[in-house]
Amino acid sequence: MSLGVEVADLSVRYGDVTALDGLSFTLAPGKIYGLLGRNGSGKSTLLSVLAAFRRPAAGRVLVDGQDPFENPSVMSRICLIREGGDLYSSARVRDVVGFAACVREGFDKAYADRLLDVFQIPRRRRVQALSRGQRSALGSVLGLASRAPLTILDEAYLGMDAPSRYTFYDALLEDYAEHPRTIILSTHLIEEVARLLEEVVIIDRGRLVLAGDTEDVRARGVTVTGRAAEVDAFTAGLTVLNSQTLGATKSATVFGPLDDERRDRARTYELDLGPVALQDLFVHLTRESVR
Amino acid sequence: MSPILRSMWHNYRYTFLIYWIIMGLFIVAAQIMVSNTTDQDAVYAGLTNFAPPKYFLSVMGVLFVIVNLPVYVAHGVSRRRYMTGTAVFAALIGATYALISMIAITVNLGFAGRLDGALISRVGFAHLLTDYAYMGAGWLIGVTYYRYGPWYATFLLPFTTSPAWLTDGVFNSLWTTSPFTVQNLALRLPYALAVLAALACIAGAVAAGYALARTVPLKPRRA
Amino acid sequence: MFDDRSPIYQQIADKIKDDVLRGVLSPDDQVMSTNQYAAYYRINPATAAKGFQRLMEEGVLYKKRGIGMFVAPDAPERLRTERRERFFADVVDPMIADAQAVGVPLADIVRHIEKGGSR
Repeated sequence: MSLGVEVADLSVRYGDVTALDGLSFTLAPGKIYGLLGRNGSGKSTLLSVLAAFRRPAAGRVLVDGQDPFENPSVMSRICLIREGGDLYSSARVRDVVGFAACVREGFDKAYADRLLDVFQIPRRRRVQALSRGQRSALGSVLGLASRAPLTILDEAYLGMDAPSRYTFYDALLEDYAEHPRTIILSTHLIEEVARLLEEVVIIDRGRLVLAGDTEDVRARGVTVTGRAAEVDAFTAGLTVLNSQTLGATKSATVFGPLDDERRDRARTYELDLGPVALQDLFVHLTRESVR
Repeated sequence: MSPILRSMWHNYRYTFLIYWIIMGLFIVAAQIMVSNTTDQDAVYAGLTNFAPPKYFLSVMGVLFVIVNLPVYVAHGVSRRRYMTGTAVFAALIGATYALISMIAITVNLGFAGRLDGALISRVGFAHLLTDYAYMGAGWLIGVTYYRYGPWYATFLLPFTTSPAWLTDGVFNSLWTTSPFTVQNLALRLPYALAVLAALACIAGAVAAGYALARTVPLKPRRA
Repeated sequence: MFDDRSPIYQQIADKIKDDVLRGVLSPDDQVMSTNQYAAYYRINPATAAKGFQRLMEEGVLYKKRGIGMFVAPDAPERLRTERRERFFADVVDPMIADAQAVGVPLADIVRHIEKGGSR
């Protein structure tokens, strides 16, 4: 039912611009993944290769063990909803849903209708007349109701207001519980979705920064706070992502993991170890200076 | 009916309806005007050689790529499956348009008292092939613009439009001529040879159109 | 709801433990399913499941196959014992350290406690 994904040494170029540069990672089936990256990091390009919207320049992508490009049985089981949607912009909402129901195997029209009500999207309105948030909501409706074994939502909730976003999170979790499948959410707004994600893949400049269990990734980020000299001594040899000084006090964000021996050492140095939010960790990992 | 055929019909049914309403009114008006202002037996089909459908169908060919193909692929339909379904759809609408043209020509010739079964069937079949060639050319124009952008695609126009003008040429049916004037032209291919040449044009258009669209990447979306 | 100080599955486990200690959940009560829990707190079901797994390993919850998760009969007692053992380390020791840092004599603290706190 759910599809696994294998990306090996994937490169994509647009003319002389390299969008993806030797990217490799694997996604086990049936989990909710977060694809995190800044604007222009190659997220959308990666997803368009996964969904057979384009072919890679080099390397390969396997979905359910097969190359998805022009593979009808694999393509029909993938649903990528892109920002702005790939819809007839002059069509009415109800026709857009009718079209998806006609073309997509497994599309649940009744569920889509329920979601249209939940998101309060007017059925007679034309796509081009919808607000940005409503268009995003319509995209989410189509993505969820597709029930595709690999469902990918690229910046799905851009422009949605907070109530709509929470509606989306609730709908996603509820439907995922009833119809488990592989779901990829791409975003650069991490705060709200971090808890929905079982695993994250962080890319930057077309390269993999890291991939793994959300909690494990988050746990690797630690802030070390104390007297400057001791912080410096403690962090020597560690990956320091960021540091700030306030008078004699210094605070450094390190990318661990820290073993027990180091944690003991922090205690003897009288250093405070604190957690880092995934959002902050992401910012530090993908900031210019770290590159 | 395949989902592609059904949804394509759903996409375009009103477009066709509007087209034929406008065409119907236009034909009647032209016929009335011609019979009231001249004493010739010129009829509408004779004046226009029933060319409007082919231009409309070539536009449809463009739309099939630029408007429809990306939406279908984004809905999990392989390019090949879409093209197979759309080829059937195009064949059906081309045949329908040619049939309507043939009926119109029959009626027109009947009014003029020039009914000729052999002529009508020859002209009708030429219309069918011309419609297909124009749709094929439209597809080629669409796919080159979508794939290579306006610069290259414009330079390629002599080639991408070639199925259309070559077919027109072999049937001697460029809009300045007509099935009525055809007999007067000295230079004229034998009908069977013209049909073969038109079929070759269509085959070429289909092959090139298929090859160009089979690997076409969907354009990135920009907010 | 949750903060970033510890893993969310840990916080879920702690919440359920608190509920058991405060009697909100009684022995042999059924607890919400991981999916209900995930939906309620808007977290990934796998994260909720991890918290539950932990509680099963610690003997706070037990599973009835095909029905769900239940509070173990001895869970309240087990948790109270555990908290008692950790009480000095978690509550008293930091207090003494604090008192020493600001110069409150231990005798004052003892006297304060014996009087019954601030009441």
